[in-house]
Amino acid sequence: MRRDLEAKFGPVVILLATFATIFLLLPVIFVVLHSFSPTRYFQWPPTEFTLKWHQDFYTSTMFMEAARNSLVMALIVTPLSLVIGVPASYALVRGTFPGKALIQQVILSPLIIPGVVTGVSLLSLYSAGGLRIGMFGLCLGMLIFALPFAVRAISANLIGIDPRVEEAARSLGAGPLRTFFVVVVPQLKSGVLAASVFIFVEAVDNFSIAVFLSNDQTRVLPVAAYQYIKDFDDPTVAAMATALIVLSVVLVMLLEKLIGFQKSLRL
Amino acid sequence: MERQSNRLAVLLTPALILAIVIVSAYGYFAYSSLFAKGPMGSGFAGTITFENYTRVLASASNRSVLFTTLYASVVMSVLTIAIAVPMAMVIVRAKRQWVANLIMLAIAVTFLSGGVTRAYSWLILLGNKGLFNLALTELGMIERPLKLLYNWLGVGIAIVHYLLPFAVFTLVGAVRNLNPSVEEAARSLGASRSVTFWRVTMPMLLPGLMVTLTLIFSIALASFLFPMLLGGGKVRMIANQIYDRMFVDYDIPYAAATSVVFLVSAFVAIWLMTLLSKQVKRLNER
Amino acid sequence: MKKMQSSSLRLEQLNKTYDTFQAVTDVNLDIPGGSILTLLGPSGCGKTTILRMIAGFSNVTSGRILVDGTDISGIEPNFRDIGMVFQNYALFPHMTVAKNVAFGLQMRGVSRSEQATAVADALVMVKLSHLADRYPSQLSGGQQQRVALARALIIKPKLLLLDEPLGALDRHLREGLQMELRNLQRELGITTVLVTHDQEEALYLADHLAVMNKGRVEQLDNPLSLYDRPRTEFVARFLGVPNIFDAVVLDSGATGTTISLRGHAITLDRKLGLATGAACKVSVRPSHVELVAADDPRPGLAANVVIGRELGERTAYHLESGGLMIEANASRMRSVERFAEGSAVKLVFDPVHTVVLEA
Repeated sequence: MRRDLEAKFGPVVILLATFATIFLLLPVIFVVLHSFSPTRYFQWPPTEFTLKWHQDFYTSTMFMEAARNSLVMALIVTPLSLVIGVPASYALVRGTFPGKALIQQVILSPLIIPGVVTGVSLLSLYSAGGLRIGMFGLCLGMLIFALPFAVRAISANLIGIDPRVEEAARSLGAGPLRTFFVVVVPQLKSGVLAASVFIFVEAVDNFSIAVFLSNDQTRVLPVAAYQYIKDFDDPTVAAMATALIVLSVVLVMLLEKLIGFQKSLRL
Repeated sequence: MERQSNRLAVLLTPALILAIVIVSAYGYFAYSSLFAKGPMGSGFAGTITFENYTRVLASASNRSVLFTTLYASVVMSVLTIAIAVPMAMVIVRAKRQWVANLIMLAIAVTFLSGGVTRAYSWLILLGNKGLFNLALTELGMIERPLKLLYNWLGVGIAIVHYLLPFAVFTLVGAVRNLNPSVEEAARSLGASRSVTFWRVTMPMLLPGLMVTLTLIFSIALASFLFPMLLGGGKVRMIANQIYDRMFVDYDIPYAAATSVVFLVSAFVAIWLMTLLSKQVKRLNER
Repeated sequence: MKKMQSSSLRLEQLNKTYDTFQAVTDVNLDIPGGSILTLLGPSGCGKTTILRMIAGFSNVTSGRILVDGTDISGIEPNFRDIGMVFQNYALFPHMTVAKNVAFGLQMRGVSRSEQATAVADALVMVKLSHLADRYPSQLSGGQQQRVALARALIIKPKLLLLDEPLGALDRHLREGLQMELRNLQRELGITTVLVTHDQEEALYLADHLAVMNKGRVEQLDNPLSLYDRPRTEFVARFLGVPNIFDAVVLDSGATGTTISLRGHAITLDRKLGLATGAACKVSVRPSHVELVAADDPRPGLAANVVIGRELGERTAYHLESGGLMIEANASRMRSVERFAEGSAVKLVFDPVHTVVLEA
């Protein structure tokens, strides 16, 4: 990329961008600080430092069960959405068949329709079909929610791949299936990695669908946090937030190490 | 490859099953809006009626929530874009790569840290004894704490913050497509930085801005968690309305009718925005 | 690498239709084994579509593609044994040079040790042995082109297809690679189909040259005849003839034809199937238009010099004769008279190289 020595913007832009970045980071940094604060309220300068809330979080049965549920759900949903999403994206990008545009619209529809509507709709379909709320229903709902992300990321990745490379493989003697696994899949590495991280995080974080599809046994982290905030008012949730932020920092670093920022931007 | 391209449809099978589930869910839910609330335990009953729709549209509070949701989403989206543009410019054009990387890192971490985390953080930051009120009191600028929570200000701040990463991600692409030579040409012809920005950069960026606006507007419309946690029952958006119909009134048909009305008005609004951005694009290309 | 099999290629009544668009119409070509056929034409003329049908990436709407007399048009591309060098090369970005080249052998279940030997040989052939472990993104355009060539040739294909193989390279590099490509093809004796829009490349590399226009073959000939005797206006223009004029047949005899160009009679020593008085178009290259002084005794067309520019070894003239614009080149190596801009001259057309075009 061409980068001139002379920046293409003035001091006003720099000032605004700095403020915007501070605004962006403020809640993230603050919630981590708050998780070590001895009082329920904000205090400055911090006089003491405590691990009490972290201890509470990691020993709370409700939070630990919720964390386990979230983890199990995300570990089921993430690989499954990619296993379904990769071939689907390939068909949608490379294929020509009737109804393609419509199928694409339907698969991507949960991106446009608000999560609350998706959640309520699935809940009423489940109860009409006699499906009780449980891990299966939760995972199915999350899978439907996650698939558009997978399809969007993998499609963007596929569009960037020269189809002639696949033709080259075919002319050198590789069959369609072999071409897919030996030539296409390796080139999807960056898309799949970025999508995995993104879907994992979105599945763990989702509230608007999960609140309808989970019950006391399958309560997930955001729902647990919401209920806790309503009933109590102490920084245990800040400890949970810190854990999630650490997780996201680790995942971002992992992405940067494996494929670089610029590529993961395509989501 | 042409010879196999129509055979590829087979690969869609599992995705298609999920698509059928979601279409039936949306369809069934919309269908239920045409009936009366059923007895406890059942979803709906009776014969087809449009009564739920008349209820939704006749209620002044419903209309006001719907209107406020649309209006507030526009305002919040525009504000978000105003904050996102300088960030995207710096990311793309910073002469030092680490500056761009730092901002990107901030966005990525914030983006991935999740909604509940951020909602909670704003709850503490904006409270009566939160960072802002404390700082302002310390500085002697205010005597009594400002009310930043349980009103549109707090909810708006949180939603703008939530939308910001989406906006920056989308705008980075648009800014990257700008040809800096055009701005250099304006500068060499005697335009100042700010004149260049408003008369040259912004018009070139406008189609990208409209696309971004439409995207984040649709995300803003769906806001649910932020008004629920930070609105304290006083700030209501349409998603909260639907949730309450469902879990407070247990009235599925009414919730469904509210959702349908919401979706229709949201689609009309998004369609109008798309139309506008096409118009902008056409004007730009002329 | 050793000499390869020299398969013949024959296209019979080949047609390709996309929905309503006819991309290729009634193409018949017959190429003996070991030679190069070049398809030359502007973009969208159907040349790449023909190549893709031979490779098996596009279905044949009607007609046959015969390799050594066997119709291959129904066979999947991976069973055709045809090597192809793609535009922009289409190298596997996630594989090293050696892995790229070995791919075809791997698909054929060749043992690892045999693969290694063959890859080493192929890389020697394209002078890339030192880059075997690099990835495509680390190579220059010319190097990528050689990898693509080695990858296509290692399977000892029946045919070699080249889709604008040098199009992405700069001029200097292109000329060197053209020569190498030509030598390699000769050495291996492999039947080759080349698609290009560059007339110089086509003239240099072709044994048989087909100029295509709107899905049809306008003219198939050896390169020199095609250059000297374009049959249609399209071919003449595509091969860079600027002088194409309306003329009238004055006399159509058994051994020669006399035509009139703006009243100036030129007698061609060829019999043309044209009636006396018929209108026709003639094409003549600038180097076959001679400028002589206005008072020269030879018959010629009176004209005025509009622009005269020295271009290294030649002088390029733009002339005007009664509203007609004519280009002429005079070699500066032969010391011929230099005419100033604005001066009146006479133009003498070389009858051997003045070509009457088909309507």
